[in-house]
Amino acid sequence: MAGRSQHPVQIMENQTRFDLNVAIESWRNELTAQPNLASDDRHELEAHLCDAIAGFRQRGLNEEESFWLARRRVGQPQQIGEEFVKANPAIVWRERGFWMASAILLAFLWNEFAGILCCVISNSITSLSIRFGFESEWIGLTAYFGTGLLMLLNILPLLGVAILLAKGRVREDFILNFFARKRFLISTLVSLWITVNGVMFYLNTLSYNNTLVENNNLIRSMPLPHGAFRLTIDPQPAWTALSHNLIFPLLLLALVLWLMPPQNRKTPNRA
Amino acid sequence: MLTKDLVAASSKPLLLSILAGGESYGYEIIQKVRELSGGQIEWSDGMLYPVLHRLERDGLIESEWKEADTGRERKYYFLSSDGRKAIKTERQQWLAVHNTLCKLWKIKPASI
Repeated sequence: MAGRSQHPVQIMENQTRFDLNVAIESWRNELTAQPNLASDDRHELEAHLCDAIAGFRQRGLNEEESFWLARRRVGQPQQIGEEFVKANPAIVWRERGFWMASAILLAFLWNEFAGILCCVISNSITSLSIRFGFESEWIGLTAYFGTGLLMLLNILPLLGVAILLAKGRVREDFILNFFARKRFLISTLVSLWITVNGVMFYLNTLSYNNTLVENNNLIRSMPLPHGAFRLTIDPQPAWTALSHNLIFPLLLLALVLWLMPPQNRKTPNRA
Repeated sequence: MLTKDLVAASSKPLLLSILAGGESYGYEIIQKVRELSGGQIEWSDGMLYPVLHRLERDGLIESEWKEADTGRERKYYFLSSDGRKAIKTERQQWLAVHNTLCKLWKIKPASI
């Protein structure tokens, strides 16, 4: 007990000089920089590093010594990356494909959603303008407003994600955990797709009726997106809408599920 | 210390035999090999995983992420039915080499 009372100052000094969490974080970043390591491999190596650190700690070494010894044991990140890719070159491309397909599908569904939203807003403004007797020049401008809004809605999320990633505010783990739950991923994408198509079906019916009743082209100053279950009265061939809204997203969904990293399927939900 | 070639060749029967004794994870496997070989077999930690993943791809072992009592998650490996069969073949082959060498060096061979 007498010996222990001399230590606090020394311990505090060590803590200011060496932070285990920071050290592990920077090691993790080094691993992430290796293009050949899949995220599942990195998690496994990190679990190993933590086990090794705990092992050295049990033998009486301090945090800093334990970390550096464990780090040496696990090996140089670059060397590990080379060994992993030698063992399985296909898995790296599989993961890259998975991310690309997921991003395309999400961007596609978002674009559809934003399209509907802008159309509704723009057409509502047009209708209101007509009702309140605004000049036709102003009414023409509302169509540009809808197009501009659509461009903003498409670009802003991309910019936001890019900035967050660049600043390191979003960890890749967060996104991966989201996708790790297969059932959750499928239900999210399918419900998004059903919502998009349902709203489009409704709007197509509504807009057709409006056009008939008011017989005024300005009501549709911005063209509506075409739902897969659209009415056949529209001049555009139904199969174009069908392939665009039914076959294409479902094919992409199948691709995402097929490319999903196999290890993640077994990952249990975090408690 | 074993040569690099021998370490590579013996990793498959060693890993399968360790997992025959129950599921395990990378760090524990390395500790076990070090302990059993009396420090003669020294595997580099980072290189173990590509070997484990290859065995998994070949269908000899399977893996699952589980939460350990420390609260952290670890990837546990366990033997598949194909893995059990593979151990038998490995055992025959390694004992054949072992017995031949024993006869040449006039040491009493191990029983098969």
